[in-house]
Amino acid sequence: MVTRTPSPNAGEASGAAAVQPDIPSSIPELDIDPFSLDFFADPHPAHEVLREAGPVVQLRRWDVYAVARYAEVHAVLNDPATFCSSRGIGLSDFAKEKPWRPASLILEADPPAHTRARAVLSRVLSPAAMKQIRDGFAAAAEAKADALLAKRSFDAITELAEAYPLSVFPDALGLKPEGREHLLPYAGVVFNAFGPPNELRQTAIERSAPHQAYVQEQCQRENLTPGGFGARIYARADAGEITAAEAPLLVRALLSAGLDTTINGLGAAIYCLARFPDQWARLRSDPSLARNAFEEAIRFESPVQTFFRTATRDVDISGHRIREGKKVLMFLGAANRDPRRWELPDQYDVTRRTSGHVGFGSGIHMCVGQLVARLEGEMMLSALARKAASIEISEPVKRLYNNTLRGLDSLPVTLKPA
Amino acid sequence: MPTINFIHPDGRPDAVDAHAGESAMQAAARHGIAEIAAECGGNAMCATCHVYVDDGWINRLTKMTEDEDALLDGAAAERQPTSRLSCQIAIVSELDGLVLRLPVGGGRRGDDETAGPGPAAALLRVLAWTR
Ligand code: HEM
Ligand code: FES
Repeated sequence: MVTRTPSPNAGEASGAAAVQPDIPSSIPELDIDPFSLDFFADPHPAHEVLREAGPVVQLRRWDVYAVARYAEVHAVLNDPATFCSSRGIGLSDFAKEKPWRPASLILEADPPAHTRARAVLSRVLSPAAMKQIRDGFAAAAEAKADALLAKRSFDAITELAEAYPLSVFPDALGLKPEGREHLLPYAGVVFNAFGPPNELRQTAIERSAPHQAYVQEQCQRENLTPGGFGARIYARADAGEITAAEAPLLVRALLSAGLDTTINGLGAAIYCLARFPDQWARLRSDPSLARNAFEEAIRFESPVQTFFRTATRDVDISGHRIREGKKVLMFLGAANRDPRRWELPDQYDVTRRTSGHVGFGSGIHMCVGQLVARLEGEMMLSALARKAASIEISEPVKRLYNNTLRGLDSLPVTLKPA
Repeated sequence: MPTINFIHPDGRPDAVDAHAGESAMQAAARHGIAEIAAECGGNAMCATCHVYVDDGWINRLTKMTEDEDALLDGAAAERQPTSRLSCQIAIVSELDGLVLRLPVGGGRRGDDETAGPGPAAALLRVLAWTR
């Protein structure tokens, strides 16, 4: 069944001196650690090495396979029967190791269980549901833009990329006002925990207890405001689509994945627009580009950089054999800049046709909250584009270090009113 | 090669060569039809690939799923009895001549086709990868 084709880049593979019995030598082995601080500081050169080494590579440091080209990342995402999520979408294999928290009913599930949970969240976060929250999200964005323009100089991470989603999303979800300070630390743990057992992951999990306690409490029906996404999930449980025991875990999914992601997405967009004034000018001249400017920032920066899958059987990817039970790391950020797929991939272009990027994933697990993310991005960028003449970086930026998320810790900017 | 006739909101027709096996959305994307933003890339999640199927054709398409039905309720442009999501219309040779009307502001984006050499060439590549 398996043909061992020679590596297209034999030079890269020559380092594989000590070939382990179950590792075919034709797959290039690399020493890159994609979860190291050096890598996070500037992943693009390493992404290029990963893409060019071959369609599939092996990462010695963590003994995993990896794909970094668009075609292979897309293919793995779209074959969930072969590349499953239920054994965890981090490095940890749930078949061998107990998950650090009860596994997600949606993110870390396969059909048919996934299908049921997914149907519930898709309806709760549907295009029709977005129409109901749109005006409120727009008004909050206008107010935020006005306040920031009055201030002129501020940190665009804390005061914009965090502040705006925090002003709309927890309310839309129906969270109590008390305890919200746990939300960002909790999400930080979740996204660090997908990584390998490095210091980032270990420290995050060690400190996670109070945040987990808050989240568990907040996911209960009595703590969710009527009308919010959380209450709507419980209504679906009442209708029998999921069990009462499943509802809190689906609320938890939104709580884990719905905030830090959009924060880093919005941060990415502001960082792009501040770095590329021609694109800011373009957006200013046509604020209806706001939605696409956000989408292009998701492609360009890929706030969610990586996820794993586990092979459910021996399988060939582009002629290279992957053994059952092996983890496969997908580099979404590298796929989103693969020159095989994208024209001028390293350029941020607010008019680009972005359809098909994998920043929100692809296939059955493709981000179920993508409409919320786009709504926030569109509203905030559109308000800024109409009200601000320029946006400039005023002091050196600081990078955020997380095993999965890419973004900034601080982005000092100055806005000039239009 | 089946031809799909897209009709822009201003009445301008755009005949597009489609490949059997792709979706009407993919054919439109390859030809840079701006009204079809297809934000979710054909994953039936966004309703930004909304089209109105010409009366003569509507009954010749396969029936829509419940998911498509629910998504159409949230489409930006008004839903009509002939509304479909173009990413859910699989092109087969029998659909040669299919007429799809594009909704006003359906794509939501202010796409500018003069924006440089990028989109069309890049989209030709999409096809190679997604087939
Ligand atoms: C810019 C913002 C966002 C980015 C970049 C992003 C990225 C992603 C990605 C890449 C996946 C795929 C995971 C996989 O394939 O294993 C995903 C899934 C998911 N996202 Fe998002 N996301 C964002 C915003 C949101 C928001 C706002 C919510 C909630 C309202 C959300 C909730 C979820 C959930 C629940 C899943 C799991 C879906 C499933 O497994 O079927 N995300 N997201
Ligand atoms: S492309 Fe998103 S629903 Fe058709």
